[in-house]
Amino acid sequence: MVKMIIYGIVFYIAYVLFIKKKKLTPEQIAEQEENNRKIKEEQERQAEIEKEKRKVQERKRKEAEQQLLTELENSTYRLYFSHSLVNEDSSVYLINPRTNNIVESSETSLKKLYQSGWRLVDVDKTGKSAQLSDFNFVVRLEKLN
Amino acid sequence: MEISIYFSHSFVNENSPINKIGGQGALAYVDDKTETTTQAMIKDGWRLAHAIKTAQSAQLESFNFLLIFEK
Repeated sequence: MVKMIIYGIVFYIAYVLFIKKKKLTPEQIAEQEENNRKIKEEQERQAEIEKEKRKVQERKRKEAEQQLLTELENSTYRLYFSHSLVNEDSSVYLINPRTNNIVESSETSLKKLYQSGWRLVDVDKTGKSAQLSDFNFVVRLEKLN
Repeated sequence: MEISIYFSHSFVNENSPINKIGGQGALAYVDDKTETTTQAMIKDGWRLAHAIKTAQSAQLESFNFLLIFEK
């Protein structure tokens, strides 16, 4: 009998704490809605700020890449890298001398470079693989006078 | 000036067969239809500008080379 009473009390407390919803006054409901609206607005504002930041960063990155490309392209020699140099149409990329990364937007081919008056003066195979797909190369070109 | 790149499985003399490579990257293949020789290329006005050994083997039959011609 005592056990039944204890179980009853426990269930009642659980009901009150977790199941039974507290009835809110209209003022409290309005206040809660106002709070929710403010939180949502703040989240939207933060998302907009983040979006703007990303835009600015992307623009700066593109400007820096463009400036680097201009510097590299104004030189009378160029250093290109190819993941797989198998023929004159294979993609070659300029190498960023500050980071040693390839500059994706500089993609071209030896055929196009020759048509623009460039000539291959040095070529180095940089990988050990003998597979055509892994013919990593660094190539150096000079502008013909 | 023009450029043309060939590959040879065994480049041991001017009469060794050389072929163009078709496709790019993982799809690259030696195009048997384009077989020629360095001698024929030179007769055609091309000049061998660079010859790069592409494999480690020291055996003549495995002297893989990438040959870059200019005209």
